[in-house]
Amino acid sequence: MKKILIILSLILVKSMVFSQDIDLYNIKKDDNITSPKIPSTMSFNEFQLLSQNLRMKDMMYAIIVPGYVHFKAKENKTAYTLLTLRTASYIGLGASYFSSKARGDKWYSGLINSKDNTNNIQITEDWSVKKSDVVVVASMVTIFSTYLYDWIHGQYKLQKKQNMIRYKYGIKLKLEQNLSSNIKFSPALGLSVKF
Amino acid sequence: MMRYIFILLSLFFSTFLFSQNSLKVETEYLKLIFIQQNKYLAADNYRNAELIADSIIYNNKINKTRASEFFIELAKSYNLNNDYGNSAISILRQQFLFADKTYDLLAKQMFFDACYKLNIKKNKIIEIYNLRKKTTNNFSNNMLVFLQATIKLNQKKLNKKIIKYSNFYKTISNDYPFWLHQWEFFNTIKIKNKKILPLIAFEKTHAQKKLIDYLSEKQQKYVLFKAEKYYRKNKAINQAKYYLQEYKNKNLSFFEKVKAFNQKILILI
Repeated sequence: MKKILIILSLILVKSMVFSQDIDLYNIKKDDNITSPKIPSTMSFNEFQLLSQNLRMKDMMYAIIVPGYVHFKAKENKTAYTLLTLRTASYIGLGASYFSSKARGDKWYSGLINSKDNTNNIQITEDWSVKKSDVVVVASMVTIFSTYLYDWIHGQYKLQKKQNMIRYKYGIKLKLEQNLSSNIKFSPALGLSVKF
Repeated sequence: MMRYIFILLSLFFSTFLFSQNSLKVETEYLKLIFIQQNKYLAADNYRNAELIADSIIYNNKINKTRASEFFIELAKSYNLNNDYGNSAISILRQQFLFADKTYDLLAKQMFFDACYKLNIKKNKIIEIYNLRKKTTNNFSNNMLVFLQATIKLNQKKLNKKIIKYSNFYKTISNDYPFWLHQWEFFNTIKIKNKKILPLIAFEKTHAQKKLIDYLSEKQQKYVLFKAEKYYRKNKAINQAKYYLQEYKNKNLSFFEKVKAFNQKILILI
C-alpha cells in the first residue's frame, strides 16, 4: 500500500513540475488588468465559459473535487450527481475499511476458496467473495468511472458550449459587417427645432 | 485637423449603423439556425433574441415589417425546441404590437398550432386571437390588449415575461385596469396558474372595490389564506396579520378556524 502511495505521489509531483501551469519564467504582463473585447450582448455566464481552459492541473483537481470539470462547464446538475456518487463511494470505502479493521480482517480478500461461509456471496460452488469486498470494488469502480466521465464528458460539454458561443458572436459580427457595407448613403439635410 | 474630424465622424456613423442593424442581424441569425435545424444553437440564442425583442418593444417606432419578420423567426426558433408558450407569445407580440398584413396568415396558423400543442381549447384560442380586433393605433392600448391575451394563454412559464411587459406598460400609461391589478396580485401571492384565470374579472373596473370583492366567499378565503402565507414567508408580518384578520372575518368552518389558529401561531413564531 505504501509503495503505491509513494508511486502515486511521485507521479503527481512529476506531472505538476512538467505541466504547462508551472511558470518557469517571469510574468511580464498582467493579464488580469487588460480589458477583453466583449460583444455588448454577451452575458457574464457566456464570458465565464469562454474564459475557461482545461489544463493539466484541472485533471488533478478533478481527482480531488468530484464533478470539477462539469462545474467548470456550468453543468451543475451532472456535477452534483457526480459529487453525490463519488461521496457515496468514499463513504463505502471508508466503511468497509473500518469494519474490516474492527474485525481484525484484511481490507480486501478477493476470491475465497470455501463452500460453507454463510456471510459471503457464493459465486460458484467453490468460490465466494466477502460482502465488504463487493462494496470496495463497487466503490473503486464508481470513483474511477465518475472521474473519467467527469473529465471526458465535461471537456466535451465545455468545448461544445464554447464553440456555440464563438459561432454565435462570430456569425453575428460577420453579418453586422456585411449589412453595414451594403448600406448606401444618400445626402440629406435636416432641421429640427426643440422647445 | 480635417483628418481627425473625418475619423471621428466615421466612428460615429459606424456605431450608429451597427445599432440600427442589430434587429436585421438577429433576424438573419435566427433564419440561419432555423435552416440548420440546430436545437442547441436555437436555445443558446434565446436570451440574445429576447434582448432584441424587448428593445423593439421599448422603442416601438421600428419598421413593422422588419419587426414582424423578426418575431415570426423567433417563434419558429422556439418551435424547434417545442417551447410553444414562448412561440405563442412571440406571435402575439407581432400580431398585437407590430401587426403587418403580410404575415397575418402565417402568424395565425403558427399561433393556432402552438396553442393546440399547449392544449388550449379552440374556442379559447379564437377568443384570444380575436382580441387583436381591439388594437388601435395607440401603442399603450395595444400593449394592454397584448397583456390581456398573454394572461389568457395562462402559461406559468410566461409569467416572468408578462410581469416584465406589465412593468413596461406602467411606464407608458397611467391607466391601470382592474384585471391587470388582480392578476399581478394573484401572481405575487403565488396562486397556481390553473386557479388564477377564474379569479380574474376581465370586464370589471375598480369602482372603489377591493381586488377580491367580485369573488365568491370560497374563492375569497382561498386568496386571503394564500396572501397571508406569502407575506408571512416573506417576513412582512404586519401584512400577514392583516390578511389573517380578513380571513378570520369570513364565515369559517371548524376546520378553517383550526387553520387560522395554526397560521396565527406561525406568525408569532
